[in-house]
Order: sequence, then C-alpha cells, then structure tokens
Amino acid sequence: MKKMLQESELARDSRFVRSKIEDRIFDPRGPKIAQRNTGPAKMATDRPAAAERSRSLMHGIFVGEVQALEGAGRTCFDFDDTEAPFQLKLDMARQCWDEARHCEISLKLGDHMGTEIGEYTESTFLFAAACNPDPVLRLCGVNRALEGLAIDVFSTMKEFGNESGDPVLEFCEDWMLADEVTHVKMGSDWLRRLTEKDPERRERALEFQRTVDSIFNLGGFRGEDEENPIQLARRFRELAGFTDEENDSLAALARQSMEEARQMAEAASVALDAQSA
Amino acid sequence: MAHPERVEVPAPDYLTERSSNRENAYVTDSSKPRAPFAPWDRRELPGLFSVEETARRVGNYKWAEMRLFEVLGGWVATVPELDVKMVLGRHTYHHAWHSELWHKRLPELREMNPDRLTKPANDAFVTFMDAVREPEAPEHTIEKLVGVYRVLIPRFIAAYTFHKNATSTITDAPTIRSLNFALQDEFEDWRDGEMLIQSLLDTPEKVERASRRQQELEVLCLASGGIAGPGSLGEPVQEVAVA
Amino acid sequence: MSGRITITPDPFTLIDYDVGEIAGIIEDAAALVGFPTDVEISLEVDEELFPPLTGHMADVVDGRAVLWISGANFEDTRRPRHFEPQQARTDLVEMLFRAKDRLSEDFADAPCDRELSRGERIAWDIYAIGRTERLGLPVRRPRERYDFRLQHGFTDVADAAFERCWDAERMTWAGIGEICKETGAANRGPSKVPVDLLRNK
Repeated sequence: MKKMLQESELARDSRFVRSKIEDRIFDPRGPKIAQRNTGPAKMATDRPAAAERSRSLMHGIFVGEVQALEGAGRTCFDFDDTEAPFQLKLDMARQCWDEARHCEISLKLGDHMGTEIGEYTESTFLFAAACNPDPVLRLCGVNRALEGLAIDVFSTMKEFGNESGDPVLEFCEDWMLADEVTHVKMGSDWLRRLTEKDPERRERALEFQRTVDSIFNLGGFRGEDEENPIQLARRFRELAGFTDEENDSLAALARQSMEEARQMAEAASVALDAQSA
Repeated sequence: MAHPERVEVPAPDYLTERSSNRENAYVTDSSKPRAPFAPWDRRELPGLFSVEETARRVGNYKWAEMRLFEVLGGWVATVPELDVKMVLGRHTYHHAWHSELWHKRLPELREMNPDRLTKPANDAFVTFMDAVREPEAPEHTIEKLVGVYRVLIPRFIAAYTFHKNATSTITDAPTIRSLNFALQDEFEDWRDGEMLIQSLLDTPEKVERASRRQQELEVLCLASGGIAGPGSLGEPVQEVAVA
Repeated sequence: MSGRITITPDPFTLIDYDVGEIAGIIEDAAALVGFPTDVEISLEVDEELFPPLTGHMADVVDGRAVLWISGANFEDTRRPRHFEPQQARTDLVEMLFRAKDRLSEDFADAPCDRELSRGERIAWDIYAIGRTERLGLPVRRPRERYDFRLQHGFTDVADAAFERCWDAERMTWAGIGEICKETGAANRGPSKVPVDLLRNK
C-alpha cells in the first residue's frame, strides 16, 4: 500500500456525496443571504430553522470525525521511524480509537436528531489538512487547528444541549470535548519536541496551522460574536494549552474574516444587481 | 483449638517427586511461620526461555504489532464500509498498545536495547507482513481483513499462548502479565474481524477470494516459521532454562 | 397551470426551479388533502434561502390560501441547487393540511402563523405531518420528534404529546393549546426572534 493518500482517494460508500467548494463560492444566493438578517447565528431553540441547522451541523461533525479518524490512521502508516518517533505513532493510534468512538457517538446523536447518513454533502478539506507530507505540519494542522475547532464546535453544541434541555446532546458533547482537549495537547507537545532545535520548521508548522484556522473562520463561521454560529471556547482552549495570545489572535482573525466576507458579499450583490439590470 | 494429627500416607511409586511432595499439600500450621508459597500456588521455577530468548521473542512481537497497527490505521481511509472503518480505528489502538507493552518490557530484560531488538524474526516474515499490508483498493476489504483476522492474528494468539505456557511463571511473570493483556485483545479483535468477514462473504465468489487470499498468506507465513520465527510454537531444539 | 394557483417568483432567477412543475405538485397535493377546489392558492418561494435555512408558513387571507416556503425546503441537500420533487410534495401537502385547517371551524380562532408561538406551531405541524404520513407520503418520524422536543422539552410528557398530535385524525386550535400547557411549552417566554424572520427580507 502506498504512502500519502490524497483526499480524492478517500473511500466512501454510496450514501456519501462529495461537495465542491466552488458550489458554495459561486452560488448566486450567497451574496443575497449575506445581506439579509437570518437571525442570530448562535445556536438556540428560537433561532430560525434551529432544528435543521443543528442537524446539518451534527452531520458535518460526523463526517469530520470520520476524516479525523482517517487522518490519524494515515499518520500511523505514512511515516517511518526516522520521520515520526514511535511515541508519536502511539499517540496517533490512541487518537484513532478516540475518533472512532466519536464517529459512533455522532452517529447515535444523528439518530437522536433524525439525521440520515449522507443526508448532507461532505467536504473533505479537513482530511486535506492531514495530507501534509511533514508530520509536524500535519499535527499542527490537525491536532492544533482542527481539534481546536472541534473544541469550539463541541462547546457550542454542549451549550445548545443545555439551552434546549437536551440531556443526551449535552452529555455526549461533554465527553467528546474531554477527548479533544487531549488531542490538542498531543499536537502542542509534539510541535515543541520535534522543533526544539528547528525554529524554521516550527514557524512553518504554525503558519500552516494559521492557514487551516483561517479556512474555518471563512465567512464568520467561528468567532466571539452573536453572528458566529460557532463560538470560540476560550476556557477549554486554555485547558488544551492554547495561550491567551493564540486565542486573541484567532478571535481577531475571525473578526477580520467576517468583515472580508461581508465586503465580498456586498460587492457580489452589487455586481449581480448590475448584471440583471 | 487442637490441631489434627498429620497422617503420613506413603506415596504410591508411580507418582513423581513433585507430585508426592506432601509437605506443601497441607494447610500451613498456624502456630508456625507461614510457608512462602500457599498450597494452591503450584508455580515452578524453570521455564523454557532464557532472558535472551524472551527478549528476542518480545522484540519480534513488538515489530509485528507495530507493522500491524500501522497498516490498520492506514486502511481506515481506504475501506468504504463504515462499520469496518470504526472497528479498524479501535483495533489500531489495541495493537499499538501491545507494541508499547513490549517496548517497555525490553529494557527490563537486562537492559536489552529496544531498538536493536525490535526486528522481524527473519526476512521471510518481512515478506509475509508486506503481503498482509499490500492491499490498498477500496474493493479489497475482504483481502485486508482475511490477512489480518484469519492469518496474522491467529498467529499472535498461538505465539503468545505458547510463550505464556512455556516461560517461567515466576521469573518471567511480567511478560506473562503483558501476554495476558494482549491475548484478551487478540481474542476479541479476532472475533470482531471474523464477524466482519463473515458478514462480507455473501457470494461463493467472495468466499473463493477469501480462501485464496488466506492460502497465499499461510504459505508465506509457513516459510517464516511464525511471528518469532521457527520455534514460535515450540518446535524442537529449545534452549532449556535453568532455575 | 390552473388559474387558481399562483407562484412567485415566475420565473426563478437564482435557482433552476420550474414554476410549472411546482404548480403541478400543488394541484396533486391539494387533491390529496381534499383542499376545496374553489379556494385560490398562492405560493411564494424564497429562492434566496438555501439549506439549512428551511421554513414554511400557511395562512388564509381574504378566503385565499397564502403560502410561503423557503427555497431550501425544495432543494436536494445532496445536490445543491437541484429541485427535489418528493420533498416538495411532502412539504406542500403538510402546508395545505394546515391551510385547510384554517378554513375549518376547528381552527377559526387560530392566529396567523407569525403570531403563533413556536410550541403551538410545531404541535400543529406534527398534527399535519401525521396526516401526511397516513396519505402514504414519506416522512421521517425521528426528525419530526426532535423538532417537537426542541420546543416542548425532552420529557416523557412531551413524547406522549407528540404521539397524540401525530396520531390525531382531528384536532382543534383549543387542543393545540392544551398540548402546549401540558408540556410546558406555554410557559416558555416569548421568542426573542420573530418566528417569521426568514420571511422578511
């Protein structure tokens, strides 16, 4: 079996449909929606289409967990002993177990919410972050950026479970949150250990992490305002080892992404209106 | 309380010395210091393996478990079946943990260098493991699972069981403890894998594929002698350990 | 397209929905639910909204059924911007059941959709969806139960109320109110977000 599997080669059964990022980017409805008030993005039971939005997010979490499992599994296989120490691979194997469990939990939660497997499309740029040929960059992209995002998502869902009085959702998200804190710590530890004598590699890894972080801030998906569906979970991030500086930087990046998205939407709307006039 | 008189019964002449050792067969006299081994503790000192032999085998086990957990992790992304993905994810950790158990045991065996000893039993075993790890395409889930759960894991079960039964229960107790932990996983993983295989073999053509795959790998494994090479299951010419 | 059915926008400009196809589905749906043939039906589809921004409303104004639906409700979630006729049919049947309810004495006292509380709205929806399922259309009970629970609570009382709404062959507006009192939905404070927010551009 070859090393370094590409995201296009991910094996799926017939229920899964791969989405293309250009479908969303070139959707003419996007700029229109951006101009409208569709209610607070923060998850709450009195938010418009609350049930459908939470189902859609839960399905997104499920496919994300599958890709996280696949990514951790590939890291076990793709590197030899000189590229990735034995202990790093043991940590990745442990992560495989955790992510497999998260898949199971997400599936059961999907049943609880009435979602079906493959009901929504799957985008694979999560796994794309796990395709980096440098194990340090891979760990930064996955374990610090994406697992950091998972902390934010699960914290948001846990709060939603609490707000909606859903004991099952709150219980499950809390358990998954505990695991994600461990995964981020793994990433932070290995970043430090493997780049102790290589500051340039460390900086490349952190730059890759920032790139992945910015992808998931796109359009204001994550932030600290009511307009962001996913809230930055500062407390859990601190437990996972992110510094205040890192969290502040992420929040600033989120605000900047939101502003950029708003400007792009305005510009696109003007262009569309001019075209149809 | 009066103690019952000990009745000396002459031992039949067909009993071995050990069997006729009546001294340890009685409950300790509570008026005297207790015997160091309780009557139900029948462990003996000698085992089949010296320190070096155990270290050699443990190094082979570690190498094999590492190769196994790596490929199980790598396969997760290549199998389309959701239930198989999740089982492989769980089993990846089991075998990684076994390799860690062996990694920790090696330095305890008189400071044996783990890196030096972490190696395959022989080249033929490398050939066998390469063949187990070879399938990649999404259509080859059967081949992947048969290699692991019908050929390799039964070999682990056999080698570990032999080691557990053959080595000294006193001097090599730490290895036995790790073998027991590993065997528990191996049996459960074998069962999980076998059930997945049975659920996938729903046509005669697929049964044929599974049989062919198993046969190819059995032949390769035979050439290697097993996870610890020739002697994995106690074939002749063993080094006798002296207590 | 029959003269009694009007659909806006006509034509669609942002997504490739066909007005004629939708009108045909409305006719079928109206026949299925036994909607009065002399009542006009107007449907506004908000083509700017995409999944998961779903929602619909059904009112009767001056003797006409005035329906609003998010374009997301008609969209195939696995093929963005593609029309999903089966999904559209199920939603339209549900909406016409509620519009028909509004035309009856049973719901004469019911306020318009934008004045309903979320608890009242979902209970009424479940009553309509249960009837939709009994017509043989595909609906997903676990999904609807989750929607109901979000507004009525994750309790045995709420689940029992869900079953009653689902199985009811006939309910009244007063009955909806009783359900909400029983589950505690009536005690929830007013929504901070208007229930028709998505409808307002």
